[in-house]
Amino acid sequence: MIVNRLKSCEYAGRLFSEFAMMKTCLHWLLLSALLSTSCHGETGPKFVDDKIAKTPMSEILSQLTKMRGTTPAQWRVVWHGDPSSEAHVAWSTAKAGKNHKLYYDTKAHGEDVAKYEHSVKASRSNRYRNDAKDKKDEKLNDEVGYCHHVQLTGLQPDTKYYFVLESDGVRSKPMYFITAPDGDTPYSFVNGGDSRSGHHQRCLINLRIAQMVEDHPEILALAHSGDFVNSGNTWHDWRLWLSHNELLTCKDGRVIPIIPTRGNHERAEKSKLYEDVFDVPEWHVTQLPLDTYLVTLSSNNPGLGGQLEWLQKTNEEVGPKSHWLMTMYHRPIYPGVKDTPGCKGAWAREFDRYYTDVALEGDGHIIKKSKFIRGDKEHKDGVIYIGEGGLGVGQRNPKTDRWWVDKAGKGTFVFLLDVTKETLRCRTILVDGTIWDDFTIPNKSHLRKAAEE
Amino acid sequence: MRAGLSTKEEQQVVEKVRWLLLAGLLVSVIGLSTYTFLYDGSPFHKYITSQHSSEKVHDEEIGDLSADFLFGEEEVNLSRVDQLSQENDEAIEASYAWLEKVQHYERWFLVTLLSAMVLSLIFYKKIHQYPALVALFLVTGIYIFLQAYAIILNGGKGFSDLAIGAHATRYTLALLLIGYTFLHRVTAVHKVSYHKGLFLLGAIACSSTFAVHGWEAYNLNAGFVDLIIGSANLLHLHPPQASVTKVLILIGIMDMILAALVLLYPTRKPLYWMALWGLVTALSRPLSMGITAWHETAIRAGNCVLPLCLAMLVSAGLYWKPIRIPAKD
Repeated sequence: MIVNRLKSCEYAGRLFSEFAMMKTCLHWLLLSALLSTSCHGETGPKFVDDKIAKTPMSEILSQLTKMRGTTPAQWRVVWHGDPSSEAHVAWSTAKAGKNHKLYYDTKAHGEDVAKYEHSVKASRSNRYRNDAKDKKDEKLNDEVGYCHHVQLTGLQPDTKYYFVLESDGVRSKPMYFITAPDGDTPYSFVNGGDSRSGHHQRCLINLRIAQMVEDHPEILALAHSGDFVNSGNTWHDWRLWLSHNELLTCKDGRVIPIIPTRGNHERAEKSKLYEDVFDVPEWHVTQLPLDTYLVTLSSNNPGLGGQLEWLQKTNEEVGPKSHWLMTMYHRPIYPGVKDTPGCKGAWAREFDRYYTDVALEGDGHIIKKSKFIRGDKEHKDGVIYIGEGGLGVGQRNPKTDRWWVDKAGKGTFVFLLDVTKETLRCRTILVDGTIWDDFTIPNKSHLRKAAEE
Repeated sequence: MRAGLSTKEEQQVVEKVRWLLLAGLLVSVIGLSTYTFLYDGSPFHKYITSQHSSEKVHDEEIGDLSADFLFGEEEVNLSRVDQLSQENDEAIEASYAWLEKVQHYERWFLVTLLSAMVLSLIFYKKIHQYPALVALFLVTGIYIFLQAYAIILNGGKGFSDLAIGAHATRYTLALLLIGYTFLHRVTAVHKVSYHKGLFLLGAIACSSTFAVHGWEAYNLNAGFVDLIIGSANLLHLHPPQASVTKVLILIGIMDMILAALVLLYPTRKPLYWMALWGLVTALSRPLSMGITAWHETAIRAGNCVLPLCLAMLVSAGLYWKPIRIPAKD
């Protein structure tokens, strides 16, 4: 009996201690939930988990398509213009081949290409224009691959488009992409730049992005701020980037579209390969939901001549009707490491004139968030300049003493931008999933409209 | 070579040239050092940073093995890739500590270099009495040359592979300083050929810089287009890009003609024009980009100073003309 009493006491004690533990756990859970919504520090909670950051390279490589014969590989969906109704699909083959086709439909038919409602022939197929004088590239000259491009138009917004690529009868696995919604649908996109070195880190951050899209299907695309590769005119560099880019395909076959920007390592006067990879204009506008206009510029072309005229004209056209006005280019206007570019004054004035909400930058190899800047000084209605690139490259030491730098650091990272009618929430996600920074950008469409009136 | 220049006159010209060379070199190094003190490091530091980071994470080896696996015909053992990529994290951290030290040493090196050059400039009349200063100029010249070479290795800039030719006026200032520091040791018999040699060295450097810049202008370097538009905008001219590109082609042709002239038929007027043009183009940087780009002018001091020195030497007859056009009777 005594033993039984003791046992019951022990049981009650255990129950009590378990209850206390549960309470503590609950407290922790509540605390971490709170932290996840309001974290601003470097020791924030994980966005997902850190398994991705530990993925071995062999496991990554085994997911990629080997370039053999006319096996379709290195696929990418490229966006510019109106991605709710158009998309550009491109892929590579090792051999030239003769018949390159894309089968697509809004219904999934797996590998049964006969059931796909549409098929379209590649509008452009050519050998990648490798004009390198690099020794490695001379050696590889016979191994340069072939690119195939298809422009899809007349698509339905917010729709899954299933597709299979075919080159001379050899087919890719079935995949799909989702067109951008139109109207006032809240959405997200990721932004990052500088994937030109750090092969393993580059693959890991691609896996991270794919995981983010799997967990948050509202993420539409990756806006890349440039410097994809180290030497933009060498096939040696591009072929690896292109294969690593296959990792921007989710487990269920969803391909994450890319909005490209030309970086200084893909200089305009040299890199024909950039055109072969993306086939986009040097500067372009991408229209996203919620009347968002992403104006993409090229900091490698003259910034004060024709490009500035185009920017002025584009802003005049899209500025007043935009609910969110964003811009993306490679070389920072308010740099966190390097010196300022020659076009700084003119571009910044133009961003100020139309109350651009956010400027996405690359090049510096740091994580940077500027203060809100207008008229070259801190101003509550100013533009926030974020970015500087960390999609793989080794990071530099930021100059935190510059007046315009609000927060800066180092790490392999992407920005996750959640866009709603009211606010633009931006989270800096490190490769291990840590949320390094979390801030909101207020909407300035009322200022644009007031300025117009 | 003009005859009849007295030793004292020659000495005065050489002293002026030496002062100009030293002042130009000092200004150029001040400009160059801003990258180390204010920005992301010198081109050389950037190169070793990227190399070191890349080596520490075995980037090239991982890239090659990945390429063999994806694009090669033979089977690749991927365990090596895993082994290399697992070493990464700690290695990255270790590499940063090492690189920060390098930048720290570079800062001290530049402070020492600049202090020694300021002292040399103050006592420039006596520098020939201290042959040890040759080491200072040599180190400066090598430092500037290495920066140009690092720009080629780093890439990512328009026409960066021509940097050694484009920067010739910068490091040649140091070489000529060494030459003119030793001048008093040259015997009278060899003096004429010594002067000729030094002049030729300067002319080659000038020619190289102007030829490369001419080539870049002719091929419409994007940065040059912005410089012209930015400077013209200050004068409320606002030229269209189409007109600027035409002007740039003409500038390119002019630069290349000047490059040929200075080498083959050096005369005073084109050299003075080159000095003025070198100054104008250097000043166009802060004019177009704002005063924060002052260092861009400083770095290019050699583009003005070297042709100016050559013009002074031509005036004094201390030069060499490979092509001689016979005088008309």
